[in-house]
Amino acid sequence: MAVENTTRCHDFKTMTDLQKMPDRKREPLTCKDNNIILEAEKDEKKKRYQTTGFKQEKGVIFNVIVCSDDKGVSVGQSGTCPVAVGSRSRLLFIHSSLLERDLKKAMANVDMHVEKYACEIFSNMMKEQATCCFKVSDVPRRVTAAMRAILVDWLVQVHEYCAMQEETLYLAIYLMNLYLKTSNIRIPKLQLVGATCLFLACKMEENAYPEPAVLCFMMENTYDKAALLKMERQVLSHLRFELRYTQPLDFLRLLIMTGKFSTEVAVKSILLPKNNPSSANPRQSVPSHSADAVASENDSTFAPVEQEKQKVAEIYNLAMYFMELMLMESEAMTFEPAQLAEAGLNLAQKVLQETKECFDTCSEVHKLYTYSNTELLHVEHLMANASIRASTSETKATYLKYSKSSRSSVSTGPATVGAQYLSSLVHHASFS
Amino acid sequence: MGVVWCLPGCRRAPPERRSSACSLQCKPEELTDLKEVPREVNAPQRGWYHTIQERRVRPQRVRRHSNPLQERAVTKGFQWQRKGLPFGTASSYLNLEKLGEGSYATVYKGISRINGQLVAMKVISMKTEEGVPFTAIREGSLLKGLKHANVVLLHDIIQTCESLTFVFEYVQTDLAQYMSQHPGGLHPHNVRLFMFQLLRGLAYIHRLHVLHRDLKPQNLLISYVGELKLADFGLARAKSVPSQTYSTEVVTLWYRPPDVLLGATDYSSELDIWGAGCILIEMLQGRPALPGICNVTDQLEKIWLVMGAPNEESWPGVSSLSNYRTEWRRLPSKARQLSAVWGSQVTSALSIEEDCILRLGRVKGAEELASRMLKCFPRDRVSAERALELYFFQTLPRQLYQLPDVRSIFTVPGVKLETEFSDLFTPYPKMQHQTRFDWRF
Repeated sequence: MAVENTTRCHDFKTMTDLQKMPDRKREPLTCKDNNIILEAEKDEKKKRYQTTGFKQEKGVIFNVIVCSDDKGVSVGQSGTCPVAVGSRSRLLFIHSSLLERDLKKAMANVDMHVEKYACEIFSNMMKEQATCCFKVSDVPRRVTAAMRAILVDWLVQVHEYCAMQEETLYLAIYLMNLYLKTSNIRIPKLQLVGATCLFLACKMEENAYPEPAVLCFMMENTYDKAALLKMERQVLSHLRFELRYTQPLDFLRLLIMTGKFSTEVAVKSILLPKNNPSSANPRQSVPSHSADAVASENDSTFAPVEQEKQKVAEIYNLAMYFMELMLMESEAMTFEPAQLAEAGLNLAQKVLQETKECFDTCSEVHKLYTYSNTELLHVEHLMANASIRASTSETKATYLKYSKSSRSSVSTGPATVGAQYLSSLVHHASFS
Repeated sequence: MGVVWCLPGCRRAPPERRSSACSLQCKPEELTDLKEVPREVNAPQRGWYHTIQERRVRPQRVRRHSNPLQERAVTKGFQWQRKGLPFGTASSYLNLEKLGEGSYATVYKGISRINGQLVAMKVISMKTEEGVPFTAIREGSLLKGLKHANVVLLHDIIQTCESLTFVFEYVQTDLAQYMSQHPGGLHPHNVRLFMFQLLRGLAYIHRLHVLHRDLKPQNLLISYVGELKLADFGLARAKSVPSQTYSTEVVTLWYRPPDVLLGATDYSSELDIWGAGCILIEMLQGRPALPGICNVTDQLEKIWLVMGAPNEESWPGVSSLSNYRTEWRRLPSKARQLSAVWGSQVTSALSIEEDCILRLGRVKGAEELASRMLKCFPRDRVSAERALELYFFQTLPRQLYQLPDVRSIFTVPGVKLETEFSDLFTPYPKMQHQTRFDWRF
């Protein structure tokens, strides 16, 4: 409870600062410094790219999906063999029928029995997700990285407070990015835009969405209900009702399901806590131990299944934590959802391997998405950086959110314990 | 041909005739946006709407062999449309008449001034406390991503301060109307064509991971030629959501699968397959397949009567569902043959015509299809894509399976509707809608 209170009170003070920020041409106070920082970072990044030989491919790469099913999976129009998809995307080979079966099973578990269409849905997801990323220049310059971070931080708090689905947050921030890209926003309205996007995301994802009055209250009644509803119409007309988004969380779940963990365990530890958090999650009854303590306790008392369940839950939560940290970074907007998911899971594995011995066994994760190592390393580096800064920075809603025992306290547990490893990773990345 | 003749005739009407038409003005308020009529039209023919009025006054010619596909050629002749009108503004469309009122929207028939096409305009009021209704948001964002010949096409979205309008392509009737116009069951060939299109549309949306979730004859639009289009995606969703958002109307209860009725929330594409199966039987026999009377329990017992009550063997996990009752264990668990249930019912009123109506058992492959679709255990139900391969559709040309998504099946030569056995509006089948709705003739 204490944690929750702090999350709630950690408070919208920063947001009110944001509202007071001057309009239009007069840049907000912190802006200059921030710009300088940003520029410096950019330069640094450029150098890094040059030294590591990381280049962003600019040409058109085709996304080839090959299904090698004996029977020929797809009967309909999207033919059985190489489906070429334009735009910036990846190579994907579902090479062995074993992997394909795994994928089908995983899809069935994640997305509720759609194995009949698993391959096609998956290839559609891959196609769509390639369009779900932005350029750094898409955010108008007057919305600085710091302002954006504050806003996202506030959204995370509201999202946590209203106990919404995880997907809602990702969708809300995606919508916000889209709106910032297409519209000419005034800084004092920034929070209103954030709240509106959350409202819209709720209408898309949730069963019951919050009253507009609740959201207005969260904004300390800076804006009234009419303003919120007006902004809603504005956002909708700007986005032209194109609100579909491929969730990085879906990719993460798929990755975990197709991994070496036995599927049943994975299903139990990932899906059940979400559906009925009170009963099905044994970890909640355990008071806020650090994760290590719980794990060592389990070695003796719990059955191996239980232990593996916890492993999966821990790795899942840690990966989610890294991914959620990325929501705050405006640099991370350039990554595709699947890329984020794979990098998050990779990093989570590395950290857990580093901090605990028991994790060597379950390190295998199928490569469903073929991102090059450099691409993944770049994301991982950003994630590591963010998680090192998380506990000390001003915007630490995510850090607090993931310090709860219901989320395996990953932010205070493995992420802190592994901080040294993380910093060495960052160090290594910046000097190699 | 009469079509082409009719229009220039009206245009060249002498002035005194036109003035007489003026005096006969009947309901000018039906045409709402008169102010929007561009100037240059006034010069050659003053008040183009008078010519419409005039056409109404004339004795109506019966056009028995009119070809609905000529519609577009005629609309090209209208000069009041302008090039370069933008999408997304209300002035680009003219309201013609009200078609109906739904739960959260009113539907009008309209005409586009951009390309002269007829449109259906779904006007959603936004005066509620909650802002834009979530159904509208979901429908809009889903339909934006769906382009298929068997899914209704969303032309445009118009947003104003107090309302939100979805502009759809205009489709003349829906399956419910069509069936009430042709009582006693449809022609098996037509059933086959409708069913093929329904499953083709479902296969498409399921492949994109979209569930319709509200299949019923009212939501299946039928055009003159017989194209079937899925409509009303207000409850549709890209992923499953617990059934609270499910419509509580009794009508939809008839097409709801047993797993959802029992309270399962992890349903998937199988949900739509059950509804499609019910619609198949309704088309064949002319009456709803499983008309429950009042509530969920009643509906479920109706299903058990046909399918047999489920038990843990036939349906693992059934007894843990929230609406499951233990007293159902005593009911027989064996499924009856579907043709025995629906093939032999005799209505007293239509007993003579009954003979010529082919029922479920007599149409080859229909029973197989229905029994593959109507399974209590969701995972046993056939997928839409596999269903298209079944024997029932064998008589259709193979080209239908290779059509691109946006091509209608009626573009394949030789595919056309048969005349129905019975028609309430004989002797001019399908003329009824045209004369009532189509003001141009």
